[in-house]
Amino acid sequence: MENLGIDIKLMLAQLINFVLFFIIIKKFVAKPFQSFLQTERQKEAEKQKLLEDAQKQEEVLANKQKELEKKMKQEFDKTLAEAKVEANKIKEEIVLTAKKEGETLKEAAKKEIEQEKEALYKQVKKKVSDLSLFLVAKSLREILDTEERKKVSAKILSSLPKTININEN
Amino acid sequence: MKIDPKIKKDLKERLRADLEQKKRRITVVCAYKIGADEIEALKEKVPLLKTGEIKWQVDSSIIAGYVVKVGSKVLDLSLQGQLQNFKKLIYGID
Repeated sequence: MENLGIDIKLMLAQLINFVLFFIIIKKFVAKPFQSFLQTERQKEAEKQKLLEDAQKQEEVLANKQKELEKKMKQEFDKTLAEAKVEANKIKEEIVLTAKKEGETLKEAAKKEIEQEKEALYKQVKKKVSDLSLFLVAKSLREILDTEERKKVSAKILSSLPKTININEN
Repeated sequence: MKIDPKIKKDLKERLRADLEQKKRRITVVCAYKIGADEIEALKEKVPLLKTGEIKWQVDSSIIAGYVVKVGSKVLDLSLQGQLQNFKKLIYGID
């Protein structure tokens, strides 16, 4: 072995040195490093999981928001339709009321005009008859002399019933 | 204040007499001076005229006929009255 240039002692020492080196590295470097890597992997996995959860939650929230928006839109459309119906109803009621009031006013005005017309007619009638009878009376007073008045008086007497009773009590 | 019952009675009598006199007071209005035959004819138609004293009045505004007033009652037999009645009739016609 010595002829081959191999020093057994050196080789053994190197072997021991290597074993020691291996043990030390394994114990103090490889294991913590592996543990660190493991921890990092776990953290990464947790992060990934959290990210996925967050994405899922985000999706759920987005869906919920969409649903909410849809529901809101439906609600809004429904309310708008109801409001339109209600507005139309109110409009119709207002128009109807206004129409009724208009009719009432029209009727009242018509009635008033009729009453005024009637009053005017009566007034004219009264004036015409007053004037006519005034003219007749005046003419008779001027035309009839005493003899004619006597004749008229006799005519009036003859047209009366046989006897006339005047009851004072 | 107390009123003597005798005075009260006298007053009542007086008032009653006045009232009776007023009731009996007859006034006849004519458009002209009325003649005796016409008075008789009128008395025949209105017998009440025979019972009391009549006051005769002339008022040409009644045109013709007679107006007999007895107390507060009036019997209008005048042409003016008939015209007035006619006027009322015209008012009543629509």
